[in-house]
Amino acid sequence: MENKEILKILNDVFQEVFDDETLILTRETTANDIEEWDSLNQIKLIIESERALNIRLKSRDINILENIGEMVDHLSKVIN
Amino acid sequence: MLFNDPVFLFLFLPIVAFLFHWTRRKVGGSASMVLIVAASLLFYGWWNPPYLLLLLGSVIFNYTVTHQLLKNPSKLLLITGMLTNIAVLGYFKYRNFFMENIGLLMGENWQFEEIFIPLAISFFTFQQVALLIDAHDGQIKRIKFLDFATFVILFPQLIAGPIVLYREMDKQLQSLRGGRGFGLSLFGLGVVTFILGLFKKVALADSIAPFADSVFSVANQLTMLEAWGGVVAYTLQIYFDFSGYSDMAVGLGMMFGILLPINFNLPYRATSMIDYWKRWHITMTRFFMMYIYSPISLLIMRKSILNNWSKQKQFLLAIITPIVITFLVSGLWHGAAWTFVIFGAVNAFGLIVNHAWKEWKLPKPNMFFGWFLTMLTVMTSLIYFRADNIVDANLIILRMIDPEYLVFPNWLSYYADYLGISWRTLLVFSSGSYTVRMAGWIIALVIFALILKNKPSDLRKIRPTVGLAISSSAMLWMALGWLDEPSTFIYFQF
Amino acid sequence: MNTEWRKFIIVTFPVALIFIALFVEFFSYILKDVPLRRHDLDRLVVALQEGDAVNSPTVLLGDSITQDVLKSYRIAPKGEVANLTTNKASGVVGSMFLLKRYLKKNTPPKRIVFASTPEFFGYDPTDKAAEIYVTSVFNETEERSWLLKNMNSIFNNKRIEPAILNIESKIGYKALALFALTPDSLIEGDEMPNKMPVLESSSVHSSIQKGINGRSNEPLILSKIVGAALTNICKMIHKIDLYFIVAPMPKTTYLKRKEKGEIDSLRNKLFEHLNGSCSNINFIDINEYRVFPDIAMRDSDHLRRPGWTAEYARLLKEIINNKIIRN
Repeated sequence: MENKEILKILNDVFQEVFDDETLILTRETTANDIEEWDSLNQIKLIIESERALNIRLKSRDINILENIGEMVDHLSKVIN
Repeated sequence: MLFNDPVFLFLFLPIVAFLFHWTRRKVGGSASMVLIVAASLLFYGWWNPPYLLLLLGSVIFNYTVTHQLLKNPSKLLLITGMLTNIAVLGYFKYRNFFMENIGLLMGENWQFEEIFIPLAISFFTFQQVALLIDAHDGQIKRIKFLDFATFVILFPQLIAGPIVLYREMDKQLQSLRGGRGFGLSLFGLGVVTFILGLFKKVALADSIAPFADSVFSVANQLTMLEAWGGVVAYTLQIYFDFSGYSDMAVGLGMMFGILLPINFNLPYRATSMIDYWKRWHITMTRFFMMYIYSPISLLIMRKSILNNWSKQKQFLLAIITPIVITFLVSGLWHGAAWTFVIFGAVNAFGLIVNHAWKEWKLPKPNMFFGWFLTMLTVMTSLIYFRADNIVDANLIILRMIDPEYLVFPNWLSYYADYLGISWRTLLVFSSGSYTVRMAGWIIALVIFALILKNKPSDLRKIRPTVGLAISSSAMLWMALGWLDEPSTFIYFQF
Repeated sequence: MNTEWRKFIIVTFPVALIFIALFVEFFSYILKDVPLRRHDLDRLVVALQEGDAVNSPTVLLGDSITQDVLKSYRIAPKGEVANLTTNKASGVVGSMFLLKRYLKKNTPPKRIVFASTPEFFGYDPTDKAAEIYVTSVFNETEERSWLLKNMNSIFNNKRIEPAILNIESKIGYKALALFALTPDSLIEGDEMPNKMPVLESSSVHSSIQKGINGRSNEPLILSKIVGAALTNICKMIHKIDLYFIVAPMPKTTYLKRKEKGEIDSLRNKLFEHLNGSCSNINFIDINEYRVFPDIAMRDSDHLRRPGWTAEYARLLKEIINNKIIRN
């Protein structure tokens, strides 16, 4: 799966978890850019991402990612 | 040795800094790492030489386990390694607490001789446990002993954090070794950051400390105003004490060309409990989130989605439970006493309410109201953190809210009579001048707490201007002037 | 290191450090002769210096229990009794220095009266208290040499005291002192201490009771330094009459002390020590005139206002006017 596709799917997941259709993700987006981001939403993001991409993630891997770009790269690694 | 010791400031630091960079340039990165490990051991051993053995033992043991885990990631080995570390920590820090409580349950009143808690044991234990887990997960590929030792023992963060993850230091150590590190490029910024931290600790925290102490030492004789004053004073004290220390750690790291993670981000500007915990003791929160909260929450949340639990059930089991567990552990990590557990519980409660509010999509409170509620919760938790025991903490809280304790000091008797409030000579607010000085310090520190930034949005944005030189010089002088007694940092017996 | 920061570390920052230090030093030099006004003792010292001579026949010395009372109540006609009472912190040493300064402008009194807690004679100022109430107040040459000779330990040997490291005392307090009005007279209360209703029974707050109970644990002694100060007082004025009045004590403390014979013991120690130096020494225990119940105290050492402080003032007035002055 291409990174661009992953980013699109991730965007949909974020829009759903944060209940915000206007949310647009870029590779540079970080947790600080999204006000509602907290530990709980992070869990939901992980689970929804897992469902959307049909993979299994480890929370520890997600926690230390700096931005969406790194997350996409990580997801890509897991998928492939 | 402490960062605010004259021996450290005028002897140890200049000499080690010089030797480190000289060695780095003339001999090589690895040599300079050896030097700084040796210096850090001297730093640690200065306080109590025998405990060096404990530190070294811990490092050697954990390195051996890590090395093995990298070759063969056995879960059994990981668990054994983790349990050994926790057992040692448990023995030194929690044995008495554990045994005394068992005794109480059995109706006995056992008193144990105090075990001296080795400095920094909570920090270096946690840092290494995290490393073991990362090694098992394959987060780390390979690790030399020198790198491992530097990572754990580095004196800027050895005693009281920040809690560093190996992956944060890995690349930096490689660069250092290869002669491509930050070198001296962060030195100036490091000096300025260190001075800021020293100022916060020595000039701010230590100045307001006696006022907080005088209130907390007479919990059962306080009036409402005194109680509030003391609690606010302590809330400010602990922030400047710990963030000052963290600033010093980061500054020192920069002086040696290492970037350590920051620990605070204007926490008293937080407008919600969730916000607060993104700003307070950031590396510790990160540790607990990564290694306790997330795994538990993820596990339960997955189950809840799989089994289609109701919203309430999901909230109770997947949200409340992990938060409670995490914060009870966190509370206990701060100290072996029930007051610390309650400190954790109060925070957990605040967070749960916050999350519930969001989950059930209740209208967002106005920012000031959110800030106010958050500060109230934080202060309540800190009352338990600071008080000698639960009874004292409860007494203080009672006096803060029960109108029966609203008594004016005798030097305000005129106003008290006018307002129909009782007055008498108070214990803490016995004189106007004392109270005014305390109020002055509180107001000054509140302003500083809300303005002094912890985290420059971009390090390179700080320019070495004349203004910076003047403010740093002023802070340095004030810190030196107030350096009379090196009292320890609060987060010290951790 | 890039050139910007290099310049900062090597030039800008050190220059700023030196500049600020010099600036503060200069500022403190300007404020050098401003007399400090941090507390009542500072005020008293300024009043002695700036005020007119009162030439009182009686000088009254003592600690805060008496000082407190004299702020409100009049115990003698104006100018009869010079009020040089202080709080405990400056010790009997402080009383001695004040007397000396008093004598610079005023004629020697006929009598000196100490009206204080008995613990006053066992107390030597130390550490921070000594700094704030003794060494920073009494810093004339002779005073300093007396202190060096008799109380060497209170000097913390800070040879170099640049203003920049002592901003609080060299600049902060001095700057605040600029705003204080210059006192030109000693404190004399105005109210007449007519017998006011006093509460005989009521309950004592537990914290106060605790303090009272603990007070008698401290034995009454005559410290060496206090002894030296008293001897010096006797030497200062030829043929001076010296009176020691024991101020009111809570009943619990008084009974315990009486039981152990401590008050008589102190009396004897004082007489013994001053035998050669002073010709006429007298000892009066106010608690024999009247027992002060525990409820009379607002803490372990001080009397409640207004009734009990008035009672002490009344007794003091009576003793001074009838027993002391008439003699």
